[in-house]
Amino acid sequence: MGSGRWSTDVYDAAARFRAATGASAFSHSDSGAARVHPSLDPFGVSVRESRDSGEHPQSLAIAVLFDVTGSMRRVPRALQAKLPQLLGLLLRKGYVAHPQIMFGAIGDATCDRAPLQAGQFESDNRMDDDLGRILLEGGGGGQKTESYELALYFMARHTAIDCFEKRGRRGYLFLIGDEMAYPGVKPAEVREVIGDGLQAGLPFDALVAEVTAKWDTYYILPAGASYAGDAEVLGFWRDRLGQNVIELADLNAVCETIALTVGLGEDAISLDDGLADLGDVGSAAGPAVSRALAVIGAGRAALAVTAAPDDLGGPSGNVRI
Amino acid sequence: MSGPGPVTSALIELARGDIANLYQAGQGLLKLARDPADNDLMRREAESLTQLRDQADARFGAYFPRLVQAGRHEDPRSGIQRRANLIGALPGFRSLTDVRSAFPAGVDPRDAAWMWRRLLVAIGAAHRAGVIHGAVLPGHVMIHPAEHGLVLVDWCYSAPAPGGRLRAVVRRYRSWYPPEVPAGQPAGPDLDIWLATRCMTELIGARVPPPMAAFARGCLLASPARRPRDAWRLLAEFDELLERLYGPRTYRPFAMPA
Repeated sequence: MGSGRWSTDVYDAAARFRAATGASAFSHSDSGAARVHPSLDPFGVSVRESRDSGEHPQSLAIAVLFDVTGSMRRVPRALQAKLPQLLGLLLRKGYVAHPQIMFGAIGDATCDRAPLQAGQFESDNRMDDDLGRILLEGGGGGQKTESYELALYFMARHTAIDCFEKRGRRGYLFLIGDEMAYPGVKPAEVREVIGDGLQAGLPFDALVAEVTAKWDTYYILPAGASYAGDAEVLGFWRDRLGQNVIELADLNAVCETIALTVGLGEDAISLDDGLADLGDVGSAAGPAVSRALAVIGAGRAALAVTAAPDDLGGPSGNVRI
Repeated sequence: MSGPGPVTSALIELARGDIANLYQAGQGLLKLARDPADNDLMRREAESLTQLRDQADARFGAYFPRLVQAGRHEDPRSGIQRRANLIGALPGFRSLTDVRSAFPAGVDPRDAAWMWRRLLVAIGAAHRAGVIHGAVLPGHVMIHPAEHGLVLVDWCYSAPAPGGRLRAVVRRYRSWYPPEVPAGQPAGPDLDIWLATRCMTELIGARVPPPMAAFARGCLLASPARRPRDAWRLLAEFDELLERLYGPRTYRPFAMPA
């Protein structure tokens, strides 16, 4: 094609530059902060909103919350460096036209300063981002449990998302961690961390049912964490989320993996094409992610896109309890 | 020039750039800063071109201009000294400014595709050699229509990669830069990708297909941390986009209108 002088054969060399970039910028933590940044404090927050606007008429809410306790070792820092790339990737791949992304962090309510941090839903017009404000905990109890239940409680009851409310499309919630949840939400912890008056405890399984009604929820267990590959942890989440449990062998591919999961969910790409894309970026995550996503892809209901019948309007006849 | 160099009397002016005039000088182009206060930018260009020659992957050498000689010029009447860079000539090349003017309705995106791809190759090669161009603008992107060639010129605004501070921006294009650059923040590799995206979307204009517009939007994010930083990885994404839009790549001859 054209003259051979202008070679565009760069694929073999593409991996080299990646290592030289992606400097971590956990500015809030690194500045010696010991408290949750005010913009991420869930206390007293009524709802975090993902709303349609003139600029973003069909918003799609995507939330990524990751465990920042000690068992995760260096993983939170790596995630902080990688995850800012998620928004652009979703746009460039054409998976989502108007993504709104929220980042948050999960700690341990029994012993941490920051059991829950929850940012705002952000579109592509924000200069700063909440990821840099996340406080790294490094604590945690050492009994293979963290306060995922508080995070799920917040996502179930303190988010308002137009994709779901107006279009019946669930948002996407990704939990990245390496441990199990506590058996249920405790009223005292909810009061202290979020400020809600909860009359009685809420069992974890009831909470999962509540959150998955609104959020298509995934659990990602990354390599490099203490309990990577742990059968008990994987079993715990598979019992609750079924096929939506992904073992991530290569942290470098975290954005591609999340993006591809969303792309599959949005019917924007076929599984085969998506996995080919993942291979093209030279990720070593291919095989493990392929296995996880193959199961997820196979479990989807077929989609037919046609105009809705005229008689579909009118009120629903049931009463929600 | 100091030492043996081109004769600077009877120079034929070829073009006026943002800060320098270009003169025909033998086999090359002599570039002289109009304002001696811009000598530092001329020095920077010579350093970057040397660094690219020595450190960039030789397979991609064609994407950069050749520095024949870096010297000084003194005007005997005023005593003013100017840095002078003698650059290898680029016969048959046209700037993207010229190309855009020749296609008032915009360039067919299937033709712009090879230019976009090669621009990303050039940028990625420079970054890997430790240089950020800093002013990837239509007047600095030269293409050879028939050979599908591309050379990124004017390295006066360049900065060390991966995080250098720009010394200047091009006044006419001030509104093209991402907001943190005129504010004096360090520029990363994402700056060149940002400006390249602006160049290509400007070139294609209203002919841009929606998926390509979405791709561009994903390169022009307000937060620098969210922007793509590796031009060569982005090229892989761009190739996927082209395949989605147009299927397997085919060669399309390109010519400027007569």
